[in-house]
Amino acid sequence: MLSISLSARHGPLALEIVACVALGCGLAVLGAAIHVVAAAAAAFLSFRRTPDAERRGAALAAGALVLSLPLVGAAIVELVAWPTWERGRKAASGGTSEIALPSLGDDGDGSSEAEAPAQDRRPIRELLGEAPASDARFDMVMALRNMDARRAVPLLKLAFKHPSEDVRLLAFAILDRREKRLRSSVRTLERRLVQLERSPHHPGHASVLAQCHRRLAQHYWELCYGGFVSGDLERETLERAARHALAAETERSDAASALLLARIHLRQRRAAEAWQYLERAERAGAHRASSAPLFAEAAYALRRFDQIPRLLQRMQGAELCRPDLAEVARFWTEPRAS
Amino acid sequence: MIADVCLLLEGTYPFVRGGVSAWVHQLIRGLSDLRFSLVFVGSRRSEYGEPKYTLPSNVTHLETHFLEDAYKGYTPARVELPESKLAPARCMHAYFQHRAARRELPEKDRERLERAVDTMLTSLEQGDGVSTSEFLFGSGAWSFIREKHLEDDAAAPFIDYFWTIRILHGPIFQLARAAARIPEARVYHAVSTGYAGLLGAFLERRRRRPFILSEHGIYTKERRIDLNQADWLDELHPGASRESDGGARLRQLWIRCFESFGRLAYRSANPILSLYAGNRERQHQDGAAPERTRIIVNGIDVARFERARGERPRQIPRVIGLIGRIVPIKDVKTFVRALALVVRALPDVEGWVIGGADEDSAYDTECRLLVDSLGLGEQVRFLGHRDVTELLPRLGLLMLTSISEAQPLAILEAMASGVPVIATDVGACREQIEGATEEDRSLGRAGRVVPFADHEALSRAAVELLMSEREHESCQRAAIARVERYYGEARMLDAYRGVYRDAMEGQWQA
Repeated sequence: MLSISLSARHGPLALEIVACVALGCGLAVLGAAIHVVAAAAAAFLSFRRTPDAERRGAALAAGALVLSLPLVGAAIVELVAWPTWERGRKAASGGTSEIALPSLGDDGDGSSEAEAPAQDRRPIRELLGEAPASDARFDMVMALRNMDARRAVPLLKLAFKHPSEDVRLLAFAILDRREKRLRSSVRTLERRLVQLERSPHHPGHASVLAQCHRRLAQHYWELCYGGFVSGDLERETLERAARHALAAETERSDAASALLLARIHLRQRRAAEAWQYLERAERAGAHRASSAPLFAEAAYALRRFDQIPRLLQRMQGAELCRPDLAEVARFWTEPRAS
Repeated sequence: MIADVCLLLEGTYPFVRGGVSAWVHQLIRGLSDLRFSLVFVGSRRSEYGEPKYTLPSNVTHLETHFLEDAYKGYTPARVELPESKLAPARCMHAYFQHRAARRELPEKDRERLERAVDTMLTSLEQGDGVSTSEFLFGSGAWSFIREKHLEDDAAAPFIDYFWTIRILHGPIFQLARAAARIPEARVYHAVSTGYAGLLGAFLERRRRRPFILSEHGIYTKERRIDLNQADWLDELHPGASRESDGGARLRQLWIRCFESFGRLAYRSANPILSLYAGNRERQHQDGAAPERTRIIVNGIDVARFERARGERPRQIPRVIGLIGRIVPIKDVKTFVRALALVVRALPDVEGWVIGGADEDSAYDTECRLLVDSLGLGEQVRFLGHRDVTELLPRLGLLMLTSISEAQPLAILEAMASGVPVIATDVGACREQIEGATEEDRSLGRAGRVVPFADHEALSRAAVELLMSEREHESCQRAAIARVERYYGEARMLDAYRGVYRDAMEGQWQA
């Protein structure tokens, strides 16, 4: 609450003047009561105007001052104490101001795009939260079967909390099936990899091996990206993804593996390495539209904020049609009123 | 001499182990003064091996029916299916379509359609009803299927629709034939809806004998989940990704079919029994008349577990057990994930998975891979199916991570052995652990109830109970008191003895 309305700001002083008038008219009790109210108002407004850590002290000091020095106390509080506190707070905040972040509807919460299949066009997240058991809720969760993992998985996990057991069971079954498919592919590819490593003299061996590593890396990455693993398991899965992507990239330098390595490193909070892989991906032919948002993300992690607008401007056409990216790009590239 | 009770069993006792099978075995052994016959309905013969249970001496008859045989031995032949035979089938379809849409029928129409349903139940595969050959090869059946396909405004391709209808109807005809041959019994008792419930409906109408229905889980609900996840339905019609297309319609056909079977069973059975209030409510939603429904809770032979109590070590054993088949519905992976967190806080803790893995070997492999990938090879043991009375004294806690349960016997057995329980908030688990009534709740908590699929909450609860001897002891006391007071086997057996007696003595009304 940076601002207090003019009338409220001058409330204690005005009340003190009224109290003085009442006393002058011989209304001692009324005057005393208004004086107490003025002290309370000064304490309350001081409490509201000061940072959390100083609130109680400021309120007590202001209240005591007004109470002990009729009229003069209120004047001191309004004309000296409050402006001083205000200056101190501005200095402490370093002159920053709050600007709302763009709403990243794509951040796995399905709040902007993942809409209910029925007539109700509100986001699934909202509907799932409020819904009692019904066929509509069930259909809603069914619709998540075909949504991409990153959007669907958080919503499916949200559905676990739904009061209807049908909805919970279906959400679990969908999630389990997605994970099962991924893990089944991983198992098949791991077996294939072992076979390939045992027969290095086959024609086209290097290319097939690289392809196998690439697909494994992609699947391990999807286990993390889709939210199927968390905590220690996620760290380990990311490392596996990185190992296979690196093997694919070493075997045959390709843009896709380098981009994947960049994404893995970004998730591992190793932005400098991610940056290097992004440069390597571009050298191997990665389209700027694919690398630009990742470059921007890496720049953000590296605190190279001044580079972000330029990097995002490299995105073109289709990429900018994605509402999430478009909003981020707008946030960083459009001039803002100071 | 005819059996007193003919149990109608689908995919369970005596060929499959599990909670329902254990319950059936317990019921038969407990009511040794009654003669039981068993009718088992399964999908494919190859999916079931030898019986997993030794049949008690009061089982007088066991017969099996496998749905893969529905059309076995029928060769194409020119057959006429007169409209007079089809008329009740048309009415029955209309009846179920109205029920599915939850529309109220006018009284006159309702009576007419109800009569048609009864006609179908009594006449199918009989002289005046539609036969399998007429359904398979009769021109009238072909026309009827085409007509229904055209009525469907978002139909699947006809070929998919046609074969789906054929597959759906096969078991109906097969069970109608079985109903004509099944030995007489004084009471028929199905342990689920689905095919067993449908068979019960046939028998009730044809033999005019009492039909009792018990549901542990809710069959229709479980089928619905299975069908919504069925890969083979997607493969049948590759475009089945959107709800408006044909593949989704076929899925709906399957779901509606099982819902109709459920309604037929609810319509014919009295009483309709469930294990706890939540499932009873669900039965009402699915069409069971409230005045016919009753709750009979599970019970166990508490004395059998008293020895286990005596064998418990003084200190809390650092072992967390999961008792259950290794199948996705038990969510064993969440147990493994929870254990990984527990081990981080208490490195000497072990996790034992006690249950058979033969039902879903792929899932078993996934669980073991997860154990390896979490580095829990030393801490997690897969013990297979074992006698729980031997293992329960060695458990510090029982952890049940299921995503769906009714009223698990494993919880009652652990409680009777003085093992605190941590379970997910599904089925009647909360009632079992925290109490169902005010008086019951005053006994205290026998463990902790946590949200499902939440391995962090599970691990927090486990660490809390393993670390606090006082809390652990308090849970033990509550567990033993609750199971002794409310979940004794004698209560359950007396209740079922009463149900059978009322049915056999004629206090039964369908």
